[in-house]
Amino acid sequence: MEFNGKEVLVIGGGIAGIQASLDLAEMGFKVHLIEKDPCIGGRMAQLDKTFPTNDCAICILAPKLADCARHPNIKIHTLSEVVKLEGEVGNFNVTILKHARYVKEDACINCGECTAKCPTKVPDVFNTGLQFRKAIYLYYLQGVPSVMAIDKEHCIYLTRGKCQICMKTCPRDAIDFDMQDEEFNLNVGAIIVATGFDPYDPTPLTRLGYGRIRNVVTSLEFERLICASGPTKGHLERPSDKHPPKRIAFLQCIGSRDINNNPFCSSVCCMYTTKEAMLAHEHDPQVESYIFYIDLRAAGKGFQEYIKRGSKEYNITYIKSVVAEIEEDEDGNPIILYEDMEIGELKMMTVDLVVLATSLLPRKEVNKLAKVLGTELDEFNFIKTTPFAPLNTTKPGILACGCARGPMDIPNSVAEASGAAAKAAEILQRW
Amino acid sequence: MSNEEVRIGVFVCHCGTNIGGVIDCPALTEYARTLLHVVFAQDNLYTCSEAGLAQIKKGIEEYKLNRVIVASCSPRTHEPLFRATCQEAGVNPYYFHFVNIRDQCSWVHMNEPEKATEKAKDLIRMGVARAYYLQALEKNQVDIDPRALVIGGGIAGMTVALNLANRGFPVKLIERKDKLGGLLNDLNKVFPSLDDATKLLEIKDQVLEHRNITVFTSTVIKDVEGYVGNYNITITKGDEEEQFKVGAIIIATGAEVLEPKGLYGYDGQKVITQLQLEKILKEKSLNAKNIVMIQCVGARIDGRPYCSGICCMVALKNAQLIKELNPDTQITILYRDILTPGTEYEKFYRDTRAKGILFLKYSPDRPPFVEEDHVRVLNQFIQEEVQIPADLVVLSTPLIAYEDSKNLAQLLKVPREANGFFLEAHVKLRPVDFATDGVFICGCAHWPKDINDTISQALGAASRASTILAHRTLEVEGAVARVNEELCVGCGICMKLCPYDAIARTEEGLAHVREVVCKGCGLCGASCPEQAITILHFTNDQILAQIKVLMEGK
Amino acid sequence: MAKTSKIEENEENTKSFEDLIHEVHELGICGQCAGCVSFCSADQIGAIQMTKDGPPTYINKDNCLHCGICYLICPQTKALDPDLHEKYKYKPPIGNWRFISSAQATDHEIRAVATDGGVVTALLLYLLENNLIDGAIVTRHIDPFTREAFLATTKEDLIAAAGSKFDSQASTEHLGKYTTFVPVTSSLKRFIDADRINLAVVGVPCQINSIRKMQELKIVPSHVVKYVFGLFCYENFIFTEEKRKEMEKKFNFSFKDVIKMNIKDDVIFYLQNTEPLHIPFAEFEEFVRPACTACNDFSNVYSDISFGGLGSKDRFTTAIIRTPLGGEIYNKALAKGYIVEFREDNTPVMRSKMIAKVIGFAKEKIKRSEKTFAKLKRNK
Repeated sequence: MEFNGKEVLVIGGGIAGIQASLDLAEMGFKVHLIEKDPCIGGRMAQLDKTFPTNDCAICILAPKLADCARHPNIKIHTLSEVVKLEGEVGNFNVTILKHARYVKEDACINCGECTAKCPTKVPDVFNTGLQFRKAIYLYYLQGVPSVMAIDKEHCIYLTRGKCQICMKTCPRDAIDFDMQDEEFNLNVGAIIVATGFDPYDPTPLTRLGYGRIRNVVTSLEFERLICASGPTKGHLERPSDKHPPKRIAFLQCIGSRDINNNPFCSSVCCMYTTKEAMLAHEHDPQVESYIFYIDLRAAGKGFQEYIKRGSKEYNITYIKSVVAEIEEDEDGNPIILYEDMEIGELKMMTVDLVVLATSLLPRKEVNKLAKVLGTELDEFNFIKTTPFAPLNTTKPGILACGCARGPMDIPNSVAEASGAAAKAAEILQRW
Repeated sequence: MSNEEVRIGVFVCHCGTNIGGVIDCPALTEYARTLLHVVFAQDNLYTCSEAGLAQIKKGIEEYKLNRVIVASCSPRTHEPLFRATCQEAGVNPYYFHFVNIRDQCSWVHMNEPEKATEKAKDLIRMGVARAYYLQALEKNQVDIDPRALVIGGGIAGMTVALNLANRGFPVKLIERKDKLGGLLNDLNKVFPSLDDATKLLEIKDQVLEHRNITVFTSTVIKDVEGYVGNYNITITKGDEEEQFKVGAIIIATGAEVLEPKGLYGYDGQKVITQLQLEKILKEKSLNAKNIVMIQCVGARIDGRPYCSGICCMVALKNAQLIKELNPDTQITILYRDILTPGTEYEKFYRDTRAKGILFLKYSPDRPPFVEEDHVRVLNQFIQEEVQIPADLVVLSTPLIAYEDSKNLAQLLKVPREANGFFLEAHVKLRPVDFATDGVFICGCAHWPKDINDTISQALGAASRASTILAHRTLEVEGAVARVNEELCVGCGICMKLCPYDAIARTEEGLAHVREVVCKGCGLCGASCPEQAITILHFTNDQILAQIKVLMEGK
Repeated sequence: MAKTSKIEENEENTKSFEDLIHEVHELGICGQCAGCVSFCSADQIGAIQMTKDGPPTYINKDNCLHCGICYLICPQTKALDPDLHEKYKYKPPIGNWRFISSAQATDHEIRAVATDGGVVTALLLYLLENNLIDGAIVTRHIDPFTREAFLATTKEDLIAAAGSKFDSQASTEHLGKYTTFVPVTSSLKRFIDADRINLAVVGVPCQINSIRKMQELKIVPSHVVKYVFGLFCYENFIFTEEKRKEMEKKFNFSFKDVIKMNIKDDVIFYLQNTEPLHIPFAEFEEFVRPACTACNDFSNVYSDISFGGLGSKDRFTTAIIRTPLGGEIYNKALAKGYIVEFREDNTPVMRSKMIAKVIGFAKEKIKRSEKTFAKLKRNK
């Protein structure tokens, strides 16, 4: 089978983008994988364990990161974004803006000397702001490429012209403050959008107290707290007094199934909440968890058994309910006021910690990207795909997969990513 | 073992502070130099960096090394890299040995640096002992037939076939019924767009007319032989038989709707399934005024614990259609949980409620009772039993695996899970692959799913299949099992145990490993009662040498 | 690391410790706030150290990386002043403020040892008991006239720290030491990672100035400081033995009898068995630290809340609430009963009287600092 030697652009270096890139590379196509963060890995790298097998997220992700980095057919461009698109299916001219890393990728050996001495402390986005990182930093421990980056908004030298301590401590002369953002062009035959999701920020839901009550956290913050590579080394501590919580409430449908704040269903939260409750119990067998839900959505392979195991072996109680509000007592314990929907009664429950199962929303940068690419977004800003051609966007030649398209779990993201690769290959092998 | 002198080079990696911060690497290097056959030892900060790799090449050249040991992180990260480096420097990659002194030493013994260093010395000594017995191995090349076999002509099978065919791969599509289309042929309209199902069947023509697709209807598989890239398929159509070769196989056989015999008074007349309702709606022969739909019939119960995912949407879709036809119809849906995930389906649920369809939750320990002209059920909210008038009861039943998928599984030697659906290699990261290379799965044969997910997954399977078909040859890992036919007695234990179905029986009845499928897991070698199987690159000599020097001490 | 020409060029252009020596130390205006040392040791560069009486010096000049940060955060260089002015909405002469009040601690243990109303201690107790902070950097007596900085983590610690603090000390330095070394006291052992600690700091204007500059740059160790309590400060004193003997003779009293010292409109010594002794500021001119005359911040303009005795009657504290954060904790502590305000002290008229007094002193201090700088210019 002959093909025209055209290349493919994959936008987004999460598990979907990585899978699509690997498939295409294995098929013999050349792939440009662009990622806006300093490392590939996406949201999966932030998770502790993944359902329904509860295996360690980074352990199954890391070999794929290494494969991507090593594959001769894949070129990874980090700190990069698409700024212009011209042309049409089979012949797109894309302009990529690569932001300056200020660290030479082929010189840095990730020895850590610069990070140790960098004077600034910046809230670490990867750890959901629960700990600090430096202005020169490795995005996360197992990140690929395993090279430092300088955050130009917080670097004292780049903002005020002083310091340069990193440059002075680097044994390989890898720091280059003269680096500039640069633009370069690619000519590709097809484009795959795999930009993933941002978690919903529950601050507007003032009744639930996120931001006001210290012991109310989001699910992603919980993942980082319970992860061994997170800010508390995996010891679950509640924010107010760092005591280990024994009674945890998980509230479903935060920022979803809510006509005032995103009416859609986020698909994965029932499952990931059960997982989080299981992890809490594994860390401390005295933990009792209460999951406040509307409908338990667990249709995938092995999912029903997972939920059953949760309530049988992990001390999880599922309460069909609607939560009215959360208050706080003198000791910082959240008090949940809710209506038990099975029997129609108003009830109160005091717990040690509340975890809000926040929904999956499109990345905030996707509006700009959609404009550049000329693809439409649906009413929720997910990439709109055509009916019964679920991986085709509204623009021929541009495909979408994974959470960029709508909230979905890892098995579906991976299957779709492979699917998008097949579609892209079809485009390239036809023209 | 060759006759030439064994010359081992040891490269100890600091891995920044990962290893160097706990283990005394210079001391380790010094120790390595004292070991038998080690002619060169060096430590560096990051062996995997360009500088480190250059050091390895230099060491090989200057000291004429023919065995290379790197003591650093984990083979999972850099073994291919170091092997490739050895190869580039002219040393067979299987003469390379990886000693893990990070994950298995410095990381787990962070608080005991002296002991960790001693342990690292032991590990290196073991590695050196093994290296002496390493053998050069070659990777085999296997030719790949570029054709694909797609089993099943529903929407999944047709999607796979079209994608591969459009890309130039010849496809054989077999379907056991007399026409393509699968379940879609029986459906009225599809959710959430409420398009006619026939719209989706338009690709049938593309499939039938495509020059790269050969369609066999009323056909089943009789036999499958061979391995990835080289399958011999025998099919039968009536009395006729045909044989052909393919390189990859995709299972897209779908699933069937459970007929709930014995449940809720199912009779196919007044108590029917959603599938039967589809037919009625297609024929426009509905005349019920009061309809009750019961969800989770025969699903989420003991013996069939899974949720079939699509039944809620099916019920909602049909309820909306009926209400559209005749707004006076009273429709009540009795449910346990309403499953409408995602951006579109939740809205569909909301719309259904808005159209006046009633919903009542029932508990699995107080299921509804279907009586002559009504349905009795406990309304938990008011803690009272209610009677809902019903002249038609529609049961939403799950998709179940075909009974005879068992036969197909045996033919293709792929596993199924507890409910009879095919079992993929890894639930998350390899959802459409099987553990055995060359066979792929998609659609409802994998697990109940809706049309969009079926299409996506079918494309996924096409993609994965083409990563094999796109190559003329496939390189096969050299560390495989090998049977010594003089010792083999043909007991067949290895064949039964092999998870990859890599061992076949020869004409003389002996075991023979198909190296292209073998993953070198070692299960056969460990189980053979005659010790007739050698696992290359993990031979008894090599492993016993490691144990011996460990026990001997420094 | 061999120095590249780029590094050398940057070092020549960056003002660092050398320049502090020339521009601040040699002019006698180093307030010994310890900001520079605190940062340098927190970042483990270890080039400079505090001395007992005088400006900081090099430990090892070769360790200095010429990063220039010490220069930026020194209260006496004006490098980051525009940034702070904007961030804290500075308006002369007393900075930005929301409201002023006169209040008192409700806890009698606190009131017994407090200089004025014990409000600082009461608020710190509120923060501690409600898990808003893990500790507070405060100072405590070593002897009646010298103090040391330390980390208070219990009510007892806070009580021990209460009382006047007018000697030269460096709670900022202690801040730096605290975060680099493993804390010794057992109550601190539970803080495994300095990142997730919240501290309150109590300090005089120069110290707070330096800490806020560190926070502006987002550098260690200021990232653990959550609440900043500033004290009014006209000047600090150096009580040498010789000068003490002189004063004892002049005013016919013994320092041994001094139970407590306070500064409001003048210096007040509370003596055993007799009436408090009021001594005008003028008498203390020779005790004043020279660096204090170069400072123009009386009311501690960059703090969350500023405190002092001036403006309130005896046994009460004046509090100026500046930031939203300051307002939040003050109001919460008030609502929870840690402090109390009496209506007659907090009428609009009383409040304007208080603020007028503070403004008066603030203006005086500004004038004095202008005079000092004019003199320094002339002597150049």
